[in-house]
Amino acid sequence: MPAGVAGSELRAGELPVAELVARLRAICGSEHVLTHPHDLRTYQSDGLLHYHVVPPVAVLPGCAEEVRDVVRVCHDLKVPWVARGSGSGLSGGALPIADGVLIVLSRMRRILEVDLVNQRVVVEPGVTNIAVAHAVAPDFVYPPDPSSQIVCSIGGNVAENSGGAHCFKYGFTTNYVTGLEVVLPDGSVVSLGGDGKALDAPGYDLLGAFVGSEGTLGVATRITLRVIPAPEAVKTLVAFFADVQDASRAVSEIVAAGLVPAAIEMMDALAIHASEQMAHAGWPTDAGAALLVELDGSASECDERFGELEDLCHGAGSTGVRVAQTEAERAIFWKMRKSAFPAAGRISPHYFVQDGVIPRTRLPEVLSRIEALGLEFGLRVANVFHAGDGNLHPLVCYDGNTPGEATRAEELSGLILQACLDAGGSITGEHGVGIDKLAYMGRMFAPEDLAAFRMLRLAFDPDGLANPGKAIPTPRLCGEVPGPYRVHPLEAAGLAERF
Amino acid sequence: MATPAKSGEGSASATAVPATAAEVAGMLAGGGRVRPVGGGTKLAWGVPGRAPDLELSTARLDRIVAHNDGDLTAVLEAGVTLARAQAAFAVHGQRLALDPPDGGGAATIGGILATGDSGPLRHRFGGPRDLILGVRVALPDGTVARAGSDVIKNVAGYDLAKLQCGALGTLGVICEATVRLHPLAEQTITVRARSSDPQRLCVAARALTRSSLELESLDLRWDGLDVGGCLLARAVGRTVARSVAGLTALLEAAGLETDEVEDDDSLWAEQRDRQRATPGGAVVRVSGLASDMERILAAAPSAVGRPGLGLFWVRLDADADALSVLRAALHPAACVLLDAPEELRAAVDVWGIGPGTVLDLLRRVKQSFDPAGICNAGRYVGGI
Amino acid sequence: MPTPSDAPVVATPSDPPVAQTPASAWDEHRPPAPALIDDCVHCGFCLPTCPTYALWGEEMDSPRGRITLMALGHEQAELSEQMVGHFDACLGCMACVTACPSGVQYDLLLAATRPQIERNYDRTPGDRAFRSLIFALFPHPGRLRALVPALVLNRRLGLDRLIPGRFPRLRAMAAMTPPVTIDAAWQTIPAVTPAQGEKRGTVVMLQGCVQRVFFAQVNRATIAVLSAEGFEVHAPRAPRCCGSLAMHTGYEDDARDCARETIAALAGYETVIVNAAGCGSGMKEYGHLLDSEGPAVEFAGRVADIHEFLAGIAPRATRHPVDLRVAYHDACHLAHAQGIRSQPRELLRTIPGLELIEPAEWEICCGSAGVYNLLEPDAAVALGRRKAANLEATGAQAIAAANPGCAIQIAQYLDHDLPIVHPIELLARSLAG
Repeated sequence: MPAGVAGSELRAGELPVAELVARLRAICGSEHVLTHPHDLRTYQSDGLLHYHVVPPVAVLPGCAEEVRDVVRVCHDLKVPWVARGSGSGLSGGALPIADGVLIVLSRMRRILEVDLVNQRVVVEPGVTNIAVAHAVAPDFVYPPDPSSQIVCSIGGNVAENSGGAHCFKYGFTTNYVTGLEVVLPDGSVVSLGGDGKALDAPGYDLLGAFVGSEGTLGVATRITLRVIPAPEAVKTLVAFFADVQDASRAVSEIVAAGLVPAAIEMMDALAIHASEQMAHAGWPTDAGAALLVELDGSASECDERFGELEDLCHGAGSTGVRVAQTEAERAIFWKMRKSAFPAAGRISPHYFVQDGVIPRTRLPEVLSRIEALGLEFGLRVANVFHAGDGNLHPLVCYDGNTPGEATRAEELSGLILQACLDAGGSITGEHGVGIDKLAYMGRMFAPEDLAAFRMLRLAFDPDGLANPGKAIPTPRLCGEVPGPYRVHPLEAAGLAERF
Repeated sequence: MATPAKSGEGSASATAVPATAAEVAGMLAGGGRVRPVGGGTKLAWGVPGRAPDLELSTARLDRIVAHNDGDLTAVLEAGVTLARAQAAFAVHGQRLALDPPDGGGAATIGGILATGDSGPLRHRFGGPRDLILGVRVALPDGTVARAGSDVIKNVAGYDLAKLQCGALGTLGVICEATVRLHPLAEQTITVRARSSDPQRLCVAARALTRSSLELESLDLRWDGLDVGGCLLARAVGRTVARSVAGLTALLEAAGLETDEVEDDDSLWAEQRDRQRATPGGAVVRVSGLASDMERILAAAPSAVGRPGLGLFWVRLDADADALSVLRAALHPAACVLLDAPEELRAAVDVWGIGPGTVLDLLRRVKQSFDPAGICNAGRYVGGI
Repeated sequence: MPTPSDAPVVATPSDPPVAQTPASAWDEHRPPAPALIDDCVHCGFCLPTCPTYALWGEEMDSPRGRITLMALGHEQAELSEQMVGHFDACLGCMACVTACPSGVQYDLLLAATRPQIERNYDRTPGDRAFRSLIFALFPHPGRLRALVPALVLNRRLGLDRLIPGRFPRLRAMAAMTPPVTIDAAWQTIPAVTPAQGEKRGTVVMLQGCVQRVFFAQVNRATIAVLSAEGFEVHAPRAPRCCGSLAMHTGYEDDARDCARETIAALAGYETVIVNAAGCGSGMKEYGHLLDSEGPAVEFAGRVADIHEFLAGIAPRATRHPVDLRVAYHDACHLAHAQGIRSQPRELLRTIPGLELIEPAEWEICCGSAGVYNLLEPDAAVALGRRKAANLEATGAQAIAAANPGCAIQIAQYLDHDLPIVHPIELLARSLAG
């Protein structure tokens, strides 16, 4: 059994479990309160398998009022909690806590309002990202489209400020959330953003502060999203290059030409190889890199500039350009891109995904650095990423059954993140800090910065009940610069205790 | 460093002109009541409040720290004027897609962010909160904190940059900001479509909002039933002529009279100007749903705004009754009194936010960042 | 008061997900393979296509959750009621296999898990009795024929409503009356049908158990089409059943017996044509079922779904117009288990006048799933309603479904009297003119 479970049993003993469960059952009904360890076992991880904690109790409320009442009970009993959507997050943000309640929002998947006159949609947090897209199609689109959009929930998107492939032109979740009903950790309910009906509601931009707060400020129970008219035309191409360096140069030239593609995505040879086994797009197996570029907008503008785009790709040394001729072909291009993470499971037993961001102009040098690191560590690193945003997703492949390989892979991942920071970037562009990157927060932010984050936290959650131990390091880490990244599970557990 | 303050509303007893964020923070740590000042173009917004002990000018925080043209980002100190920044970006064919009224070039980045002010470009590019990537802010506890990052995508840490936008300097003093840039529009043509029938304007505005034409801006100007109003749609791009044809067809089908304006800068400058009050008058910023437009046109003597966003600036007589009539007519849309004589702002509820869980939370945020009430105390919502 | 600093965090990034400990809920005969369990990266792409997750939104009733429970079975000895309940609730529709980007072979995992449960979990006497009843009846065409008069009567009189509500499974079974007429009690089909025109080859067609009694017209249509396309069609009475129902329920021994009987009965034919999706998917799995025995693997390679087979030959017979708007229903055992989605559609598109319509949520199971609708009636009813509503929303005049179970299930929940036919029946109609 994993290290730390003994400790969790100890803590579970401190929970007023009987009273807690009785009160949760009274709110949500017995069938929606899980207490059997075998049921709970299935909630031990989100999309990041490396961490697992079995919660002592999970509750699946069916409506906003039930969420409010559940949070109130937790507040009464001073029990911490973690909210969870579809469990597809990649930073362990929805990792349960051993002495708290897991609030699972996957039953709350009603689309409450589709108001296209005002270009808004109101949903419950468990609604999937793709369900919003479907609800407004074909005349409107909801631009944030994380690769996991078929499964990830809007509540989770709000918590993580999810991005996706179309951020370069359209922005992130935070640019599309116009209203939130939030249950605060004390069980009170606030409506942020003028109930989603006033862009410039008076008062602090708490909407902006809440989106991306990784569940540490409250639970969103009703989310108003802005949707936009579907572009008249969409044209997509994939350009192949000998290596990622050439492809990176193409990216720079596209941007320098004043083009604002809806998406500029890059995959390297290894990523192409992995995805090809899932999506069967028939891309050349000898390509060193593929650049997926999508232009959208008015048909005339799209046509006008698409030729320019093709020329730029050729000019940057593309070995071949393929234009999607049909919607079906375009769908396959995107399937290649969007299934890349999980498809990596086909080429490697295990892998770490990183999410660092760098200034786009530093792409060639940072990619070289990653390649050099991979060679140095003797590990394969697949790269699939949002090139337009400079948001890298290196997949460090390893075999956990080979002694020492996981450790090496982790160390390599850490060095890649450091390279991103050295280039003036960020440790995470869209996956969130969660539990996974907590140790890096001290490298990216000074103690004063972290203290300022805690000021906000204090205003929302003075008791520290909402998703404790995630996203923002707690004071004891303050002032510490984390040393070389942990190398052993036991050490990892020790590190966790320091938080 | 402190000198006697200039005269003006709620005059401070002293003015300071710090040159670094650390100096700003040091002044906040002094414990006196501080009012940050940029270009001074929106100094009168908010509740008049008590005079501060210290007026803190950002005039020397005036460096364009970086313009990373290849990355379409820039780092600006708070005292840089928008006009100067735009001139620098334009050299590389870029811009900060933010065009609020700028008081003849005096408005600074810090002031625009702190007030959350915006102009016609908001239709396509969003407001200050959508363009800010990172912030360096001097906090009332005397520290300098950074949030966000210098790259266009980041989710590490809370988004305190957005929190500072529109906070009117009540949570600290913005010293530096990283912003996202966009390419300059290559060519624009504005289609102007007039009607005296508010219903026709509303229907046409909605048709344009729903269309997939990617307009640079979509604005409304309304001067009451006697004069009527017009929609201004600014098309952009290599194939702008084609867009204009589409626009014109749509607008004429909606029963509006159209003309094309190629040299359109002055048109848009006027739209921006009309977001501010005439001398002695008042301006209310109305924020509601796009479908509130009919009600707004019926209630407002004159207005400019962004129909797609439900955002309008209504010029009113500086009169408490006029404000309450407008608020009653437009409820529950948010009506914030911006420009107005001091007496009026002292006499009415400037922000229009009542007691409730939201105000409680806003107070807790203020309390957490500024427990001693150092920064712009009393000016903000609920007397924060 | 708990503070964030108290939160324990278990961080074991270098642990392989499946720990090896001596205690295990699985016996040594083909447990769900740890290597296959390990393929799951927990991305959750399977969740939206899983019928039980669609219904309940609960992790333990999702493919990802069930794989976690399979792993749990390797770590500790208890096979709890909870675990079994979640495995029983799985329809085995394999939509997750289609959806999985990592290539997790959930089909193999489930095929290994179900027999483990039957061997190692003590079901209640009532549960056992009901399961025995099902398998005493369905895979036996002779017994089904004997039931026909009673079923015809029930269809007329709705006798199933007399069964008290406290016996939901029995009631579900009785309500599930196929659209049967009295001649089903004695009708048979010719053992050999000659090819029309120049002979292109000889094939053998599996008659099936349920198919031959309740859907004899599908078998006749299959023969007619194959014959019209130039094939001599053999339709021997043996085997009585291919064993797929038993296999998909975890009755491994029964399934193996049926499989051996089938392989023996259909030996000597180069191509074994199957027109029931469930049977085809099971027969293609004989290799796994019979521990990779040579003949089984070889036989599995000769099995072809009728759509798959027809898509692989040049059409010869003339298609006459059939003016009909048809909604195509993807049978899970065809679409997910055999990956056959485009062939039936292409086949239908060769028929002039026929308009093909796609319902929403094609990937979600109708709730039939072999004998699932008898064993788990609540979930099956909810899924059946959902599927019927999606199909009716298309405004189609008929539904094409390539599996007898689906046809029976969907018919129960349609609000309107919409005919459900096998695609091959439509093609036969077109060829007949």
